[in-house]
Amino acid sequence: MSQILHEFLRPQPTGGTIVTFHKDSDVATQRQALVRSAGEGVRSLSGGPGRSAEMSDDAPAFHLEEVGIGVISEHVDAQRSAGILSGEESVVEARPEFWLFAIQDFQDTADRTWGIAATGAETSQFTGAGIKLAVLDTGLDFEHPDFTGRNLVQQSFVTGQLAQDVQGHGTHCCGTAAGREVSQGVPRYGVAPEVHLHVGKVLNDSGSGRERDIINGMIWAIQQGCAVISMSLGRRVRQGEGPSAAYERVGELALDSGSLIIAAAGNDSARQFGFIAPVGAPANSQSIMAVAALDENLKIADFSCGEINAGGGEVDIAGPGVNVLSSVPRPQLYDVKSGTSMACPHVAGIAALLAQSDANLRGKALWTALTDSAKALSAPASDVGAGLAQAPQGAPDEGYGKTPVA
Amino acid sequence: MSDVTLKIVLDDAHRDKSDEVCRALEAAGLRIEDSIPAIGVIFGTADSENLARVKQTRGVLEAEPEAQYQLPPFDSDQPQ
Repeated sequence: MSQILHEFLRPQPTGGTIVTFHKDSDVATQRQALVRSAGEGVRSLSGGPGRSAEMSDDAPAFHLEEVGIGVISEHVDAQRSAGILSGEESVVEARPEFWLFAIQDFQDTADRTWGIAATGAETSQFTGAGIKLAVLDTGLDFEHPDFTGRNLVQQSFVTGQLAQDVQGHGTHCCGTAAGREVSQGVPRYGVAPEVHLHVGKVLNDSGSGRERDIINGMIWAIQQGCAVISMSLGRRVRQGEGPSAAYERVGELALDSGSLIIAAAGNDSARQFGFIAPVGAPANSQSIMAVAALDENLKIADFSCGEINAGGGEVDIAGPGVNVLSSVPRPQLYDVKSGTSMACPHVAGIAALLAQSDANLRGKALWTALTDSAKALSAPASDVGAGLAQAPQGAPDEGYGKTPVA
Repeated sequence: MSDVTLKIVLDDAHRDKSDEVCRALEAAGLRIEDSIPAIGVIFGTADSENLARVKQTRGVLEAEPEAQYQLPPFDSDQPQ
């Protein structure tokens, strides 16, 4: 496995040390060993009747007397204490303490990221080949090793700047939608690795963009014949604010032209405090698909916007949007990010797979196929819409690919 | 007075008449910067004292300040 994935998957030490004592060593001996290695102030914890075990951060070590285990604080010099403990006869083992995490439904592996598994892209025979997919963002690092040698179309709508990505966001989104298959040391992270990627730079090197540049980029992608247009950008809207007629017209033009615009719902919620922000613009247009973000347990992400406003402010579908590994500009090459910006290109990639599976799935028909085939979730539709986008699995003669793409 | 940059959406009756509405908007004090006839949308800048005239120009459905989209810093822990 690669250094890259090792770095993301490696256990995370707390800085503390777990000490296991011989079961026949006495409590006083154990305690003396802890004092010698961690200093005065070792606190004993015993679960006897009438006693409450109280953990706090100020003690250099805790002694769990009944089970013969010591826990040395991360504030103690671990190298020094390990040296002392190695000479203590009562000690069986002294090893680093690690953080433990809740078991997740999906996790990254050496072969694929969790989003590739959760969407079923991993097992789909479709790759996006023959389908044009546009990512409208900060551009792409065209010299990234996963994209060199590929047939890419690029266009910048930012005055004075090339489509080359400097900010990073665009390269991450392009990677999720269209990054390559599993390769030496790097898991598969692209949903549609063989899609014909069209890179439209509508956000400048600082990550900001004017509405005119974004709308011109959308029109360009439609005119290029892109079946799927991924837009991981947006702005906040107020409660009760309706969509702009401008985006509604672009969305309708897209659907009439056989394109589907898919946009990030927005990250303005703070659900842990009970606050759900309305789906932002332009995802709040009725003719543009709004994508919410899910975590590895397929729960709605804390930040993901929800349906507050009617008339297009609904969430239409959801995609993996927490702890998403994808490409970033050189020299780093890969990084993990969270946001509805990461969920959006997952759904866009799935749309490309569906479009490849059946040439009739374009525009509104593609929208319906995406929502009809989505995996239902326990979360309400106001948060996740139809559910988690799913890749087509059937062989061409099993219901998909009735009208193969030439 | 200060300048305001506007995103103007034409009504359905004038959606295909961008050139005609552009001329009327210029007469109302708008400096046209971009026109997207495919969807009947015009961008331009006007002195704020001419805003009412621009908004009341025949064929204008919506006239609102052009918005700016801004991503959070990519190297931050903020949701993207």
